[in-house]
Amino acid sequence: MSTLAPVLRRAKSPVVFDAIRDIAPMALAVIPIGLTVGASAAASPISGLAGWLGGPLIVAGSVHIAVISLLSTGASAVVVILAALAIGARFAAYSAALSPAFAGQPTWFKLIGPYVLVDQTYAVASNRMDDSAAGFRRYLLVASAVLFAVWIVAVSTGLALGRVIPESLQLWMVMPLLFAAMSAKALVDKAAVAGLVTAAVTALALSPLPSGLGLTAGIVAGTVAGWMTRGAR
Amino acid sequence: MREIIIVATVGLTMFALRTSFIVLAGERQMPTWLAGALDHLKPAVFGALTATMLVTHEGVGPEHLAAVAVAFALARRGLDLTLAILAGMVLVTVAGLIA
Repeated sequence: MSTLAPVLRRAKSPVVFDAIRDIAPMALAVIPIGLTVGASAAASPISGLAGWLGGPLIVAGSVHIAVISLLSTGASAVVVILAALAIGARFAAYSAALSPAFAGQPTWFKLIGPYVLVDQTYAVASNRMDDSAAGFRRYLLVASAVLFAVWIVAVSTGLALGRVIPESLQLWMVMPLLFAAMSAKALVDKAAVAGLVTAAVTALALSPLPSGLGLTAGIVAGTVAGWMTRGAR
Repeated sequence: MREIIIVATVGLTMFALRTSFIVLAGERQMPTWLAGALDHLKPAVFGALTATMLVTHEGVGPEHLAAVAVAFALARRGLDLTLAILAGMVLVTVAGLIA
């Protein structure tokens, strides 16, 4: 985020600067989502503490909101956990994709580093896998800490105040716009185009499926399509 | 109490998903086909996420699709992510005021 540059110029290390610059637009974009998650927890019959704990423990808006709505409808624990697995399945793919940068890292980092592994942290950290071990470590920890802090504040605020942002502002659009813009930057070859289009079409076609299965299926189909198109440039 | 235990269990499940391959890193070599496929994960994630966010939100109209197209086109032309998002938000807001 170039507009933040003067503020950050005094940052001690270029890696810290990069991490904050890269995660800043993402952190801004999760604010309306965190507020919405908090507000829906406040409006649901589940206890405020249980709704809030999803912020620091689940650390994923899509999973958090599904847990709140399933618990509100009296779903069994097994159903809630299976739904969470289906929606969060992509985190295992992010784990696999980033794992080369974790080889040789200290154990504490292998456990703490992925704690805030979500769409946004994967998107930025996957560009830094060629950094030194210490550089990658610092980058991921700073980006994760910023995103986590903003997320917790947003969820807590939504929980305390309910719906604070008028629906007419349509702030939910920030997130799809962010990912659309990032899509544009990720289209480096034919394989990327094939993967992106296949993923979007599959996710659209399967969106009526419950529990975010359409999203997971779209990611899998797009990855396979990109892989099969590899080499064609 | 039951709710808190379920939320905590979901949290543990997410932690297990996130650390799964990372904790195994260095222990054993990832199969080459899997490593190859994962090179193509990112565009698929962006495409599927954008599509899902649009289609699962109620009341999505042509102005939302146009805003996404504008943000995509601007970013494609090298514009900063934040500015591309801002342009899309301006379009959606103006369309909302007119409607």
